[in-house]
Amino acid sequence: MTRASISSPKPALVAAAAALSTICLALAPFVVREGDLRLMIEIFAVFTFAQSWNFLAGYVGLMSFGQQLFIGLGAYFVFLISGKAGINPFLLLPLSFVFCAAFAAVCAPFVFRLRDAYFAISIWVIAEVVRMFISQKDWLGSVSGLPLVATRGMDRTVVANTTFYFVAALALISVFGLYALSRSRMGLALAAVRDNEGSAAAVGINVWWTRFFGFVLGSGLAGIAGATYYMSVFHVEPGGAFDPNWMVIMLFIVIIGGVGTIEGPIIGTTIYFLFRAWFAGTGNLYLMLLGAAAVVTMLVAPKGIWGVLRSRLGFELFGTRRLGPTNHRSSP
Amino acid sequence: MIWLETIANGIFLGGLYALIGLGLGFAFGVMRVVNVAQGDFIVAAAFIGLFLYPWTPVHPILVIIPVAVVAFLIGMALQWLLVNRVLGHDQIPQILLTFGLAIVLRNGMVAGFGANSQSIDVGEMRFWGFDFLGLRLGVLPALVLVIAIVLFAALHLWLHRSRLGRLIRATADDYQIVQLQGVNYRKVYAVAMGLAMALSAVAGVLLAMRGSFTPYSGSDRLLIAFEVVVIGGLGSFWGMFLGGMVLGVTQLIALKLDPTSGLMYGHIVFFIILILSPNGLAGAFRNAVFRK
Repeated sequence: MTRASISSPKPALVAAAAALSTICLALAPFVVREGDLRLMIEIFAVFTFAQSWNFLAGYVGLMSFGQQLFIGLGAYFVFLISGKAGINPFLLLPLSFVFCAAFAAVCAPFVFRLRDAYFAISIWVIAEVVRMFISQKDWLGSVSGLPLVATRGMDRTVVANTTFYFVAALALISVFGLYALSRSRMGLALAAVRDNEGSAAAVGINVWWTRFFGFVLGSGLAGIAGATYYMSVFHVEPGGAFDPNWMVIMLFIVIIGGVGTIEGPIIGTTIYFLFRAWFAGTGNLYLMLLGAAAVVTMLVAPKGIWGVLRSRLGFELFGTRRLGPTNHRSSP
Repeated sequence: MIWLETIANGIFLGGLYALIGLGLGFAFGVMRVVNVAQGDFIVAAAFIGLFLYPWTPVHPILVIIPVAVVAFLIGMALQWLLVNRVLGHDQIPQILLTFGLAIVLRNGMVAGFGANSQSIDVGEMRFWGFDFLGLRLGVLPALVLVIAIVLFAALHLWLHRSRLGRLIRATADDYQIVQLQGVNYRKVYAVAMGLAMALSAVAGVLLAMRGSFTPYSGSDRLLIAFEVVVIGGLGSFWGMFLGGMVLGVTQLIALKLDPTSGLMYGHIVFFIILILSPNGLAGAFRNAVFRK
């Protein structure tokens, strides 16, 4: 049986969907109540975290257990600079992307020496070092953290709406930007490096720099999303910002939804927030459920919910895969 | 003098760290499997020890034997029931599976035993000391180092001299060839995971005797194990031992200078070694001496 062909909408249709969702999100603050807006900010931020990890694990082939490093770094960057220099924190948000990307770029030559799980854990070690460093330094607020002082004089609604627009833009970028990237030349190079670095090098792709590009981009995205998320919390402390449980949440969302797909984390984020609404009061049981769900998914359907749906329905929302002239996976 | 004592204590602690790394390194060496749940299994072993030691005859320290047996069985079951199902060229499924397991285990322990700090009581032994070259050292830490050395040597000899040990090494080299000889490599893997778990469990119980633990200690243990293996040079036995020493000595000296630093300087030393020598200490040593 040959693999069923999978149909997907034309790029023009996806572009139209992007435009439509942009308009919807632009209007959202005018229709949604303040409490709901806050929840939407959190949902979009968590979705972007998950998507940044999904990008690294599923598209670049770099699985990290330390993505919370960039969430915390981005937040601390904005809180510290805006507090000390009195700069508008919203102007600093784009710079938090640059800061986290630069931090990742400095780490890359060392952590790239390790592969797979060792790479994954080495980032976690960096996150721990940064967390302990911040916890010790008074000028970084030590254990009790830093408040967001720069927005105190501003209008509350303006702050909430601007934060929402930032995080909505990030969520859109992490869907449609990823779609555009994976259809581009660079996206092909990333996929080639992920699947087989030997053959990628043989066709003239610079494996190290391609991977470097992916790592820096994914880290920067997590960083700016982390900064934006903590802008809505108004306070950042090392225990929360560098909490490995961020990693648990991202992992759950991406694994359940389907790693290496754009649609998967959308499903995963929906399930995560439903789960949280139902089980939030149960404390550890709720975290156990997240872990157990990841284990079961790995055993039953390693491609996640979207992976199963895609092959059952023969349809995908974001057509980023290219099928070769021969189907090497076909069996008699 | 106080510094010499600190270094000696660091070496004692390092032996234990090496043992923590040994389980992770052994599993990786044989199966290319990185058990991310290792740290939480180490803590689970400490809890098992906590329940078994009141019933242990002769001396509480002998509780490491029943705990090792239980851990061996758990390890075999883990490999047989879960990890063997996701083996393959791609390592991501195994890593994610064990990460999920780690989350379940950690939060299960918090739910079951509470988040309080616990310790295994070895009685009077905790306070015994002896004088060595003018240094005042603890009996328990020294004994722990001896146990670590014995286990390292025993595993080394067993792998090289026994039939099953040879089989494990052959499977590590090429599991497909081993299969051609009529061996079910999945069974060999189960034994190897059992051993890795037993070694880690011993480390976990000894650590719980020397200090204290909480259900959240697992990630610290995992990071130590990981650093020991990487500093040692991924798969080098005695490199791991040296890696443990480096971390143990670093940590105790750092704690003397800066009591709130915790594991931070150990992590930093790990990165310095990684920067200077990508293949760890064993790699640097091999390059300098053997040109292997």
